[in-house]
Amino acid sequence: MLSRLFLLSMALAALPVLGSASPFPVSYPVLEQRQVAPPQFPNAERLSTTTIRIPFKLAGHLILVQAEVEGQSGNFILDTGSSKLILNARHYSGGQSAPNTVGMSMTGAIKDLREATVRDFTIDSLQYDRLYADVIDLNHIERKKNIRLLGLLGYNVVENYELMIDFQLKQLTLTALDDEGNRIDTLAFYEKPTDSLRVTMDKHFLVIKGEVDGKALRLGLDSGAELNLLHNRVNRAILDHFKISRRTHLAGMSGQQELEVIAGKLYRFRSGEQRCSGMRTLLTNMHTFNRTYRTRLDGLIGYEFLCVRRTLINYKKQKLYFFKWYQP
Amino acid sequence: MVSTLIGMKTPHLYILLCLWSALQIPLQSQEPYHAYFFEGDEVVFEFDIRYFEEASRTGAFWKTDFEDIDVESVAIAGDFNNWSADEWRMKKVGEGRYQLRKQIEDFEDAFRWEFKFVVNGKFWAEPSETIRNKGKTTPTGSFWQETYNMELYTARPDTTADDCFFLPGYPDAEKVVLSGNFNAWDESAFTMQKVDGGWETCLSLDAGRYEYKFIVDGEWMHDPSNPQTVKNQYATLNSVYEIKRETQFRLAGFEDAEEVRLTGSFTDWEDRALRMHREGKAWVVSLPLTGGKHLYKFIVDGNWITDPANPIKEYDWKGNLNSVKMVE
Repeated sequence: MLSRLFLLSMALAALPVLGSASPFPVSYPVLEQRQVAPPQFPNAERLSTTTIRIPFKLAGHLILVQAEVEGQSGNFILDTGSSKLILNARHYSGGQSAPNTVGMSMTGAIKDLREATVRDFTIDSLQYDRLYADVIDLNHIERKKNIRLLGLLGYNVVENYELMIDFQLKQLTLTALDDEGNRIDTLAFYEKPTDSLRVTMDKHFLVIKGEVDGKALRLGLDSGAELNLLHNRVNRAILDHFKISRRTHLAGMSGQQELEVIAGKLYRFRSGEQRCSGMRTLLTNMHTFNRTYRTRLDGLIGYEFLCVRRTLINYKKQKLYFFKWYQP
Repeated sequence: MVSTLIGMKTPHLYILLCLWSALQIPLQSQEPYHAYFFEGDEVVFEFDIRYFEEASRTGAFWKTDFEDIDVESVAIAGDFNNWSADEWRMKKVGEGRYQLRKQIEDFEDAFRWEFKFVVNGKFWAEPSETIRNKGKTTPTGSFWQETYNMELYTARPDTTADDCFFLPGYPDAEKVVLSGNFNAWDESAFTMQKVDGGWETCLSLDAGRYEYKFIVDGEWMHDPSNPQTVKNQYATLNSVYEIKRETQFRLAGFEDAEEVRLTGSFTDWEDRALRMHREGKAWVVSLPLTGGKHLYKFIVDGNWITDPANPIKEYDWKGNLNSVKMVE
């Protein structure tokens, strides 16, 4: 599997001027694949057997939560742009952990024990499905953010749940869904969403269809994208609303090849009632990206979109809901 | 510091520097150069050519010696301005010295920012060996492999600030440094001042929970006078410091009530703890709260109610509905 990490690393690596960022999909080698018990969240608040709330912090523009996988507890980044759970090879070196012993904790007896001690906070249904995880060296992110990073929580960790990314309360909510994609826990949210958007899926990317000045745009939503990305081959009328703040040439992976990356702001993007103006965006050729992931995206949006919203994602229903942001 | 001067090759520069030294400019200070300092509510970036030996140029493989550059303009580029090479122009304040003042509010992030100085719009100044607050750029392209960014920490030493760190004793120590997650565990940024009975540094910090240690002449130690500690990844202890913010709770109306109390997660839901008093047309009480999410309710003559003025509410694991307050 080709890792999608380049986006994360791109964001992490400041901007391309500093060279680390490369709009080429940098393929970090997958050192190992394994199946693991789903992450547990030691400092989460357990609302019911199907809902947990997990507080998050920001590392730059990345969403950082405390999670435990294979007996190790520490920082994970929520990265819905990764298709899978990614474990950092620095801390999950091959063969040292014993996945089977983790499997033991999924037995009913242990589960009951967990319930008895309360405030141990895994969604019960999460206990039973093992997840595929890729082991990749994430040292470049650790160095960049000066944090000890155990891994990335990718799409396969959250796809069967409703995921609320609430930047006002700085918390994630994960709540289980039935087969139709309906929330099982009626008390998961007190507030009602004030707006919703139909979305589609393109591979593991949730796609928001919107427009700029009447011209359609398909943007993938990726919680691991610190900056938005826009394909420079989009309709010319759209680029009229992209205000350039900086243009630079960047040496590519070979060190010789040059690639132009343009930083700026995209104005007048709207999808339904959701309007975004002045999102910081990198303009680049996304052809390689789309070919790598077999997607047809005009761009990616992440932090810039999420940080001013309280966004509820329902992958099963392919719908986004927005809660009102209250000024104190 | 001195070795930097000797390391410079051009005689006229050396003479100039000697002249500067004679005038007792800040270089005389033993403080490491950080390329920025705080003054009141402002962060002052300072470029000083004497601390830079080489510059990288986009598209060029080799670094350029600073002595070959005729400095016409200096700008600052970083995470905070999209790495724009010309937006944040600096003002010349002396021979080879440039400054730019920005409001500290422009840098709202608990984590570090990275930046570089850009000379004449194209030379990216590489911090020299003597500069401590630098972090290696993530090398995904060979061009930037051996380059560093400067780092800016938003926490700042401030003699008038309330959050003071004090290490008693150690009268014979030569140097004591305060290091913590507020400055990405920098080992030299916050040198403590020798005061009566010990060493002190005061910081201006947001509400939140911080971890820190002292470095006494190179030896790391936790704060002996702070019982709040947490084990770190090296199996030693970090000291924990929580900064609270005075927060007011207000319940309008209920003028006929005899007694109104406040209860919440911050009092462990103790119902007798906080009595509110009448102020104008409302019941009010203020208390210091740590940063983050807090749940609360009012008790009006024995009846528990949520805050009618606050639309953000959440159910807890018992199904009780509570009001939610975020303290930043």
